[in-house]
Amino acid sequence: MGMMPKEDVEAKIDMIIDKYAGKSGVLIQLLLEIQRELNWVPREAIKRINERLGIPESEIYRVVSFYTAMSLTPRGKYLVRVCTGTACYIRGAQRVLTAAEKAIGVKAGETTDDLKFTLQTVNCLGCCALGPVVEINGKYYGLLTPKTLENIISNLRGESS
Amino acid sequence: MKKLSSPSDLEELRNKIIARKDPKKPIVAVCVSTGCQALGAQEVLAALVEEIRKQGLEGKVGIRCTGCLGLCEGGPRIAIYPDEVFYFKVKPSDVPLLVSKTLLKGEIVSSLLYSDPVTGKTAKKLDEVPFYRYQTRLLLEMNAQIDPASIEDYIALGGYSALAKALFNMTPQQIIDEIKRSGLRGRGGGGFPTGRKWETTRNAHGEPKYVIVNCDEGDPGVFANRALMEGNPHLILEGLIIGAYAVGASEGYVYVREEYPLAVKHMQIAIEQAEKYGLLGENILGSGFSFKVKIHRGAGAFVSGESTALMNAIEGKVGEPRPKYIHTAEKGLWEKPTVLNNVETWANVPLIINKGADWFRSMGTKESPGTKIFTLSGKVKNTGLIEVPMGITIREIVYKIGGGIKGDKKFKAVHIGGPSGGVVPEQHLDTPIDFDELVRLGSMMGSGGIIVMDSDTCMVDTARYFIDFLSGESCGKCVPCREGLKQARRILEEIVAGRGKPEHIKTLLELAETMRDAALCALGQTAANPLLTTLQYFEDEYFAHIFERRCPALSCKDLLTFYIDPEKCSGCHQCYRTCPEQAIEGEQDQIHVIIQSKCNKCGQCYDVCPPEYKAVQKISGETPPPVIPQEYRWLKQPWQTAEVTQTRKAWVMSNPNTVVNLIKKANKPIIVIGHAILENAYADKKLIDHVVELAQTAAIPIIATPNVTGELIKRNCKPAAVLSLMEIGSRLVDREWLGVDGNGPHDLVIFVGLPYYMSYEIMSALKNFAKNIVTVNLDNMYNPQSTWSLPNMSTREWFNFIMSIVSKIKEVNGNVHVPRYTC
Ligand SMILES: Cc1cc2nc3c(=O)[nH]c(=O)nc-3n(C[C@H](O)[C@H](O)[C@H](O)COP(=O)(O)O)c2cc1C
Ligand code: SF4
Ligand code: SF4
Ligand code: FES
Ligand code: FES
Repeated sequence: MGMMPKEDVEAKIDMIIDKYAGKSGVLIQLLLEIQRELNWVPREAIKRINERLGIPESEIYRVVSFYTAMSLTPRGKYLVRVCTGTACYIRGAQRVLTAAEKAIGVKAGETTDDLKFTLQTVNCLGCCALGPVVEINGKYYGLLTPKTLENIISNLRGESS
Repeated sequence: MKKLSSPSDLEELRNKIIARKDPKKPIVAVCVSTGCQALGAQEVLAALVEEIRKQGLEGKVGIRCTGCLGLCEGGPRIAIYPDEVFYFKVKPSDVPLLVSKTLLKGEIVSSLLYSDPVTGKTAKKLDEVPFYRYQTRLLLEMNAQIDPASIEDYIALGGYSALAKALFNMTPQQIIDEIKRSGLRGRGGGGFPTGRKWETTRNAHGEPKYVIVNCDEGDPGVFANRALMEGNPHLILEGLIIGAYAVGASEGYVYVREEYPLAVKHMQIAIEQAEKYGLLGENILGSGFSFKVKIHRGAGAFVSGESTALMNAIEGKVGEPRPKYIHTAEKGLWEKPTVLNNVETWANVPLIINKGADWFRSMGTKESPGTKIFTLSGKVKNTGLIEVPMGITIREIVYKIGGGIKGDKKFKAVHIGGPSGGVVPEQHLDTPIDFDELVRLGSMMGSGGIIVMDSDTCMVDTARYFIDFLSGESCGKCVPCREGLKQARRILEEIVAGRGKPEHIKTLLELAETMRDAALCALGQTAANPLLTTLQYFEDEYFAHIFERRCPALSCKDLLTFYIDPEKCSGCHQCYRTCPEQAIEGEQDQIHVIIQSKCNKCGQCYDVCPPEYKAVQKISGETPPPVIPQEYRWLKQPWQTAEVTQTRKAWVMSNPNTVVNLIKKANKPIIVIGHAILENAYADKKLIDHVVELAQTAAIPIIATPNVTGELIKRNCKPAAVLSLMEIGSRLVDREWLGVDGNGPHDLVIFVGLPYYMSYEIMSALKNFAKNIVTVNLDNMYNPQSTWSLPNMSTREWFNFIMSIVSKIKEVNGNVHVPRYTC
């Protein structure tokens, strides 16, 4: 979605702000919705919120950087989230993460230059019984080994974009 | 739908729903909760819908998408009602059989039943599955019988009858008394008595009052609240409405973390449905009591689940805790009296109201009545959600429900309660666990996560993991927590990296004490638990790291060394290809070695080395043996490695019995020996010694090349013929040749001690031109041209192989002795 024309992005941001304007205590919900819609919280959004709702930019930055669900940089087409929660950690999540870093070619927290993949770690995906677990764009993969993850990544890479 | 405006309306509706349901109509319940989805439940569901359409069963069979059924590891899970058939690990390809057999004919597909991993016995009933047999599933049981998006499913099971009873037959004070008498304690971790909290809020001044459901569940490693909210949202909602009535609240919030979209969705649907039915909103069931509920999506920081942080977040501020001079029950959300309870606490309320405090007290322990849901994960065989009476022992959980340790490794400890909890070691396996016992052991109920750890789990690293997690989650507002965790993390990182110092332990203890006493919120106050419990019970592991630079669990990367055992390496080259650092030297058919200075200890070579070799070794606190020099690394000559693809390759003999059987079956076996037999020695015996013993024991004549004859005679073994290899080859190929004794051709030829290229040539010729002869390559390099060949083996394995042929033949000969020929 990082590829959306600039005007569309701005229109979208305004539309979301409209929904929350005039209510109090909505900043987090508003930012979450922007994150959901745009896949990140762009600078323009922060500026717009500041202009229209009068919330200081520093406050908005503070919220965005506090919550792991929000991102200040664009995310790739595939958001690969490797669970490093306790249950997964005990079952070898670290090795799955290393394999993911190798297969995707970026470190956790980074996005590939072609905006195809973003690699992240998360604290728990809520299916701890199946650790190690990885979620890619809403689809969950359980009982993973480094090898199966490599295969999944190379399948995603292989498909025509 | 007209709103229900009295308890009798509700009963009437319930009866209608039940009457409308055809009890015989098969219902297929498919778990579509996250765990099963991760194993492909959506694909199974799609296949099911498609198959039902194909077989024209639409309308005759119901499909119900349910929440988590508990044993997620057996997913995708399916249950079929009314026959109560439970299927595990269902694949889309199983669906046609499932439909045509079970749905159409009522027969069971036994391959889909639960089968015990140890005994292999299949289980028809759920109580035959050990995972379920020892549980008391009061809250979780309903998940299988309910479509979370259907209020009617919930009503059919008696749903909202507790609400009707509370509103019409009880006063708020009576409700509070009943909850107090039941002894229900907060399932959110601290175990605060719920009735007392409600009473405080009821008596506090300030309007409006609020009730809140805490479904933040920020502990990385648990999903019990999620499963309840996804699977049975009405149960929580009903509890919340009852609580609101009891304390006099008119507004409520359900706080759910952003990462739980399905829970949000199901709760949203439940709220809308309850409003539509008149069970929520204005004048509930005509009682005059009004109450509305909103969902608040939290953005998932661990500390946001703390009561004041959560209220801050609902107020639109950043979810950080605030000082609690006055309890939130009196001054909570927007400074108004507020009851905050955990999902599971609320879910217990309708049950207590319906069945009474005495019934509730009949389960669990005196101080902690009722059941508790735990997330069981880690190194146990059965993982998933379990609900057990309080007071159950850890042993029962790990061994009876969990089925014991995975891979039958040794149990080390369980970590209970998430980041605020602690480890409980083996000596406390038989302690009954409830709120107070866990605190006595230095842990706490916390999030209800039970993570089982085996001998491969390092306790120092476990402490480091939790401290690292908490340090990332600390909101930073108070110094003891922020700085204390940072310091503790740095020290633990030093220790696992092998740079620990003796004084570190003292510093850790001091930091722990400061955090416990001076932190603002419970995150900091309990943060040291994982540290303190591991120190208390596993001090020796800390010492091993600090004083010996050794990780007993072989888990801390920086303290590990990998090396390749030259005796075991087969030169398969797998590790070489995987190593990301080019730290491995070796070519195909060479013994491989690891260059320690380049190795980053990723362990990938350890994983890929084929199990039949297991050549890569992992050690800690020791120095690896010296690397063997280049000239001794060849397992066979480099120019012999080319292998021309042939029509048929030799079968590999991995078992000496194969050779014994071949010899037994053969009429006229013979052994061909080349000069290389003199070149191999192991443990002060030469290959020739073993081969002579084989020939003598099995009474097989030998054909030898001239240059070994002398050595054979020295060993009292006269070859039946002495010929050059070329000649041996051409005799064997010649169909007219009547063998060394002139009595008839040989049918089994065993080659040993031949140069690879010669045996390759000879056996190729025999394979193509003397199909009546079975050839055996007894040299330790796979030879595709023979009929049977040894795989590539180390000298030791090779010698052992031949020795076991000899001893097996001796065993056989012990019974019948058929002398054929003696050399
Ligand atoms: C750091 C921290 C995190 C917490 N996380 C949760 C949580 O995820 N869910 C929860 O119910 N309670 C959590 N609690 C406990 C809550 O503060 C509160 O005690 C609880 O929700 C009260 O409900 P109960 O009485 O039903 O247990 C947390 C507490 C702390 C200090
Ligand atoms: S541990 Fe990793 S880096 Fe070291 S030799 Fe093995 S594969 Fe290579
Ligand atoms: S046997 Fe193991 S150590 Fe030897 S080359 Fe193969 S993978 Fe490497
Ligand atoms: S810890 Fe990985 S899914 Fe929960
Ligand atoms: S998710 Fe299906 S059984 Fe737990």
